[in-house]
Amino acid sequence: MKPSAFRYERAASVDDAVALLAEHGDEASLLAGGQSLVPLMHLRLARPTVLIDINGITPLDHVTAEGPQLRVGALTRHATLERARHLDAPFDVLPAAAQHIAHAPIRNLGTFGGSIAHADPLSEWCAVALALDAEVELASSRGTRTVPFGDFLIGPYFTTREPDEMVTSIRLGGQVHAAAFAEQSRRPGDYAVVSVAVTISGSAQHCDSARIVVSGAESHPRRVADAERVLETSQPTQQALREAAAAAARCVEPVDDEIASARHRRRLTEFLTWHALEEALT
Amino acid sequence: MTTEHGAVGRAIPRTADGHLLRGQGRFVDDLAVAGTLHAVFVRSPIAAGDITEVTTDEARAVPGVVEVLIGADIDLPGIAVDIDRAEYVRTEMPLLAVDRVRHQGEPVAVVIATSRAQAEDAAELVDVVIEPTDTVVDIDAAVRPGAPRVHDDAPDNTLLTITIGDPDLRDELRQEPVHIELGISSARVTAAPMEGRACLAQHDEVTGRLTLTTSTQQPHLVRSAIAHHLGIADSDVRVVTDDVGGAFGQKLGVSREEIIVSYAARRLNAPVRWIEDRFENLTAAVQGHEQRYNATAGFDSDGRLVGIAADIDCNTGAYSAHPWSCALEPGMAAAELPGPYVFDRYHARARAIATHKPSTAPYRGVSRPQITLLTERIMDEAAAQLGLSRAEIRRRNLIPTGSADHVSAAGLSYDEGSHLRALERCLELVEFDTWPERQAVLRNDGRLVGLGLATLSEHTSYGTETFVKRRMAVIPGFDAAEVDLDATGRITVATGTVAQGQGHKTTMAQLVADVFGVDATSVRVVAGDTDVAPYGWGAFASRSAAIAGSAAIRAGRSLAEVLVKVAAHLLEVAEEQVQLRDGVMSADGVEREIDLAELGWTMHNRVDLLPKGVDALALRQRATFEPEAGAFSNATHAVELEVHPTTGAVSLLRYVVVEDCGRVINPAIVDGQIRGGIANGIGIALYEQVRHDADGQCLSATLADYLLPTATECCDVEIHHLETPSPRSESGAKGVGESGTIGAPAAIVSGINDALGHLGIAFNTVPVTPAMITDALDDAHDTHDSRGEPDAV
Repeated sequence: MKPSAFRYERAASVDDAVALLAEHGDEASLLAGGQSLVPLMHLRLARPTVLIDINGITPLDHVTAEGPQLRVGALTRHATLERARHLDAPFDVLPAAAQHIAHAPIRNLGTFGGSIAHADPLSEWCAVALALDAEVELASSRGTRTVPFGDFLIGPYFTTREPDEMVTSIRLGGQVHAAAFAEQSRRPGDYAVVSVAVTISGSAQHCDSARIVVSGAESHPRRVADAERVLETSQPTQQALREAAAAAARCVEPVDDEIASARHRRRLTEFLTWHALEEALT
Repeated sequence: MTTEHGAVGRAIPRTADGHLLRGQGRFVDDLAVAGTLHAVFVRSPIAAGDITEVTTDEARAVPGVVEVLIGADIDLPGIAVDIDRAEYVRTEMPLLAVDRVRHQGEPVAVVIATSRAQAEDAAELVDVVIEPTDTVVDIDAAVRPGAPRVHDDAPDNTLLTITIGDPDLRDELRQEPVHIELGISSARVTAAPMEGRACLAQHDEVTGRLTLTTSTQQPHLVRSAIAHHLGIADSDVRVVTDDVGGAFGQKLGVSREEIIVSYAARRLNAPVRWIEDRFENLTAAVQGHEQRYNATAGFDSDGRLVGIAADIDCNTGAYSAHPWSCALEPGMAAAELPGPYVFDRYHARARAIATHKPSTAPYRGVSRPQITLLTERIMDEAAAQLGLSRAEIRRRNLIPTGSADHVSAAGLSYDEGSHLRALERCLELVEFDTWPERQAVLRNDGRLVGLGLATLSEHTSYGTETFVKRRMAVIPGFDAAEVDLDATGRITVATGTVAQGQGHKTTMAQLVADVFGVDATSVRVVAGDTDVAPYGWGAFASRSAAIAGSAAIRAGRSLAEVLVKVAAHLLEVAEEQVQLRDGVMSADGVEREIDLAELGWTMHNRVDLLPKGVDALALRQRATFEPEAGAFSNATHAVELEVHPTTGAVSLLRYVVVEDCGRVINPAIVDGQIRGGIANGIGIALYEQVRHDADGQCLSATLADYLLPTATECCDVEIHHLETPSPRSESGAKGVGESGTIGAPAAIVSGINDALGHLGIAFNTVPVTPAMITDALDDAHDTHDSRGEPDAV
């Protein structure tokens, strides 16, 4: 299929891009890697009249350590993060999660910022961003602002980004000891049936707090507080991990559809939560 | 006419793939034709409804739009298939729906524009108003009294009921010492070829001829159908098929789109191209395999199968696909259910049920994956009840080796196979006898491993008799070939069949090369152009090697006879003294030898030297081959697999096939057919499912939703060949195109059931998904917690 007619604009800078967004508002879409947008345009499910290509804004393609935080530019390709094996805990979760994203050609083009802005409910990056207490940096012709990811993501494909704003970078929190990611999909590269991202603050001997994000079980990713509480100021024994996993499975209210039954999703939630926690603590 | 170094039997590299590997494929979308217009079909967004209004004004105003046609604009007959059976309800599929739509994706209008994008823009603006009517999508709903009718003439949506044998048999089988009651079902699947359907029609104003380049399996049949629908002479239509990116049955017969595109090219006097996109292919193209079986099987106390009674329902969708009709799936299921097993008493009632889904048509395997799943489940259940091993129950019931005249319980006559030998060899290869101990060790470690086993028979190379029995209006039994020698001594084979990846150009060359003793790579093979190739029926039902290959051998032999006759004259010896070896004609005691180049040159240029009554025309010989009964391949599949106890994921660890397709012309090509077929079978067993909601909306409209097995879902396949040459073909070959697809679902389900049987879990339906497995494990945990029954192997 072919997309409906659109005008193509190439932005040379963030200023350029936000000026175009200010002009065209929600008629416009930003084109980064295009790995979600272009298929949607081909199916004519997305029909922007103006396409603003931001691939030339190379300053947005970076991964920068800032104290305990990691700042990831919006235009950073999935493949860049997949290859970032030098990252220390907890950011070693980035290459671990990246390998679950689709297939190599898609990872070569798709971007971190694109995934965050698109807010696909099964996006690996959205789950990781929620677990790592991310902050999203947005720019518009009105200025810039920073939004906690938990306030940014409000539903499937639904964020608090204004039509004239663009995501420029994402700051990932660093006050944690370890992070891990686990996913189950039908075939390698498919959308997840369920995935789980976890972070642990403290140490392998003593867990101060944990963040556990379940994605795919419900309509969009969310933290499972009941499970997190199990590990709060605790000794993360095998039994504690199993209890936390069981609590995660108990507190999700899984979707029941033609892809998987609710109880299958609940089962995966438990298994993947345990798997991710164990990964984070070893 | 023999050679010591024959080409047949050797894995010579495929000869016709270089251009594909170099990116020089010539698929329909690759052909550059100046001034080509692009067709886009406007399709019904809903599955059932009455069309109240179609408005095209806005679409016509879009820049670049040349024509917008709706059903009322074209006065052409729809596609209807005649079957000479009183109980068959003939349905007509309009080329463009006029009053009603009967499945989502049914074409309602076509837009033709100077670019594809413009055509798509305009297609959106064709205003189609359809009043939704009640929808039936599944078999139960369709046959319920008072169900909405897909066709007015079929009150219970039953388009055909085929009955074999006595319906009382079921009750009688229940009196046997062991009887099995079993229901199985399989999901609707689709061929999803890499290249969707595609065609390009060009009208030549000067000659008045139409050339349709199309991605098809049956060029001549398409030619005749186009001529019929357009009301022109067959010879005014040329159908050309070049590279085809996969077909698997989806490109058989003629499609609505091919006829409309041909019509438009003539009407507009311009080339018109249609390229099906993936969404159309997944939602609107023909599909297959949506079937369910309800069977009773009786065994005597020795574990011998006494009989099977089966009710078979096929959800054949909205219309009858050309030229098979909706009888295809139920007919083949009923006729071939006995498979490789010996028993006497048989009853089948098979129905074609119409629903508001796309029509079904042949898809690789056609009903045999389902009947094999059924018979293998019956065997495994009987083994468990009788306390026999899964191997032993099959030993007692398979057609014995050496049976050259087996007649199945459904009355089909089989040629000789090697069912028992294939079984024993396969059991040996997977060390079946030690499996219980190996399984027990792994189970102790908490691993759920299974060894699946399936034996199968594949009816191939269907001949005239079969199609006459099916009472089809056309009888696609024979095929044809021409073999000629040019003035430089080059042999060309023109075959009536075509290939979509099967490597016919290599196998046909091998068969004909051996007639003359020449190098197979020197033999040119042409196919797929109705102006060049003899009238044939194309590629389907695993027929090309046996039928078209036999025709090629016959035509080659006729040519060799001519060559020998001429050589005898030139060498001044009797014909019996001439030897044709390694492409050279010679006679004992005569120094002079004549090679093919000299003979070809002489016959074209020195007619004065030829024997009386022979001229260059004799260098083109043609032949047909028409099997009466088909040839039956056989195979045993075994698969070792593991089920993840928590996620329900199934990993295939080892796959072994022992197969017999008669004479193996090219082992590498046969292996490729088996591997590809098994990949399809893995999809059917574990992944693929065309899903529709209750309103007939397709829920698997992208390849992210319709899960095809990829390299990561397949495993290496070890293939071992047995060769029982068929007396029913000149080549000794039987077909092998579908055997992999037929065996894999049954083998994999058997493996899963072996892995989970100790928990009381048995699946009888495909695909088996991880969610189904974990749900069953949850249920087993609830009800079978401490039951540790020993397994029958």
